[in-house]
Amino acid sequence: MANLIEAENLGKRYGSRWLFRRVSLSLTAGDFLVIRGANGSGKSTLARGLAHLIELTEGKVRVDGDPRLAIGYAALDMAVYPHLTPVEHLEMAAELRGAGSVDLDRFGLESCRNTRGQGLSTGQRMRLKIAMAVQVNPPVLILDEPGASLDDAGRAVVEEVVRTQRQSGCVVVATNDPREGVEANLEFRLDD
Amino acid sequence: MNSGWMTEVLAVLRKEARVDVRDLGSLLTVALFSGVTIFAISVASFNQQLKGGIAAGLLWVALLFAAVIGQPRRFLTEEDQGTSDLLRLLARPHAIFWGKCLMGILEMAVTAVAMTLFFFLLTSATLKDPGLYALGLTGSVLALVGATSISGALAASARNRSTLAAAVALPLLVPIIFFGIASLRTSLGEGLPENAWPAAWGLLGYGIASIITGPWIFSAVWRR
Amino acid sequence: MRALKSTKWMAILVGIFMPIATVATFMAPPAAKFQQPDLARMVFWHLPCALVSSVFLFLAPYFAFRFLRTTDIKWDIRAVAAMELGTLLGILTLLTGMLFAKTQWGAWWNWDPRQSSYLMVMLFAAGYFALRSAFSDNEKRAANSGGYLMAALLPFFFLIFVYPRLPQVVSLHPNVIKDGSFDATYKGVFYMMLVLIGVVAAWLYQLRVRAGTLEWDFENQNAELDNRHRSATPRVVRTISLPDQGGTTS
Repeated sequence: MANLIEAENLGKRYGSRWLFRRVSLSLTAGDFLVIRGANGSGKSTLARGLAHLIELTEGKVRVDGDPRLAIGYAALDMAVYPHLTPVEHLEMAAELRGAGSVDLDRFGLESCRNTRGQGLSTGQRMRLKIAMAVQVNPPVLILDEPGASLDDAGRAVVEEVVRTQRQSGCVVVATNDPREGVEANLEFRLDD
Repeated sequence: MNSGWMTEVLAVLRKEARVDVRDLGSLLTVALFSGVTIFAISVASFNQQLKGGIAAGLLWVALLFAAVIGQPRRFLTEEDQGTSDLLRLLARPHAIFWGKCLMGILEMAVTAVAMTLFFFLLTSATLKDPGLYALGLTGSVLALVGATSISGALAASARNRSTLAAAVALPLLVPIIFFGIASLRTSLGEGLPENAWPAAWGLLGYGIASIITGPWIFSAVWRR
Repeated sequence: MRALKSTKWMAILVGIFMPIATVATFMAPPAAKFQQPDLARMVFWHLPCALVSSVFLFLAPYFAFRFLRTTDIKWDIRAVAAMELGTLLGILTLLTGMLFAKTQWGAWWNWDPRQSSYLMVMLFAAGYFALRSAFSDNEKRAANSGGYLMAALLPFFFLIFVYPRLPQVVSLHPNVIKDGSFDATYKGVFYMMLVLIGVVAAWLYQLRVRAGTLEWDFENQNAELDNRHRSATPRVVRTISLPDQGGTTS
């Protein structure tokens, strides 16, 4: 089975302090990797590095094709535009990436489809970010603390998204929540 | 399944336009600042016949400060409000830069025309060469937007980014001041056309050069 | 050890030739075409400082470009060293220019186009260092300041070479080489000062690059020590092989 994402000898350093080093991984369809670690251990940094959002000090991350289409990413601390509605966010994302549509109902966003970002709750914003992440059906889905701001209904949405994603792609979740990642087949601890 | 680059640029432009229209605070600040500056100039020159050189200098400095206040924020706001990661995920650096630049050009063009009208209304300055003035103003708008966009992009992820963007922009804009004042001065009745027209074309060229090279500089710093 | 030895030799050579050159600047017969010929000797210091400063100010964007292409921090070290030397010599150019202006034209500052344009170049340098001081991350600092130097290249060129030579720009600044203000002796002393100041500047640049490189190597060594507290073995989620076919890498 072809690897959907490969990372070799990843390392990130700030000044003379290494956050992590010599991390390698490869994931195929159906894989669910959960990254755990204490606060400040580098979970989010590793997730962002895998998503091509930051330059890592060492190592390579490899995906097939344009990372914007190959990787879907959503993080708790990522903001949405305060003056755009969920519909406008998704339209903009579709225009920028060339395709993609989303059923707002699937993510429980139908009721707030025309509410501007600043009027959305934290949980609604997280669902919007996840919706944008899966909009182009990326082979790789990376989520950073996805359940932190969600109620039970929201968590159910995340679980459904992860299950669907694993049918043809892979999932990476960075989290400290023991309730998340229980169905993962791979676990990686950053503070080992 | 990839967008053409023009589609991406227009998508960023549309986003910028939507946000500007809905969050009028920034536009109003620039408008208020520009209006007050022109008003102050007219009060300071009350009852005096403004020569072309003085008028051009005052008007151009007012344009300069309007640009420095209004333009870098397009890049700074993405970091301030935490949406830079979202934009990185969705758009390519060239599309982001050109989309924001285009919106900046539209905004600055409207500001420049409004300031010009207000300036001629309130002061005794007279326009002698509309064609030269139009070319000089166009070049000024492009050059101002190009330079302030680059400075905004460079300062976006720094500490004290608002102040730093202005501080970094001003040296980039200083050479443009020579061209800008030289071209506007003659159109307002002072100086020789054979010096002013090359200055106006030079200004236009500088503006186009900064807008063309800006995306390359931006993409080098965008993902670090 | 070799570095210390060459530093010692450079110090000796500069120690010998600098006093000789200084005496020569006072011994050369006054250049007739200046307004105050005897007080125009400042040009022996002013012009070489300006020329050498310009060299460093154009080297810096080149080094910045190399960093942006390779992301090797050693190019950034060279860029900042070049900017520091270029700025130092630029400030000396302005100061010596002001002394020249006072003796020849009667005022410290005349808003002469060459004076003004060089001051603006120094504003660029100030912007560069201000930008660098606003980042704590090495790579971000290098990338953003490097980008600034790329943006500054066209204005540098315009301010140093184009603007003072525009026909509509009237300058008090003498064009000493072109208009024959220098006779053979004057030229000889001038070239000697140019070589001397160039050599000293190059030497300072080398020392600065060496210091910056040592600082970076020291930080790297500290980082290696830090990593030894953690497991030295690679952490592999699943063994990979990296076939070299298509795809996007970062």
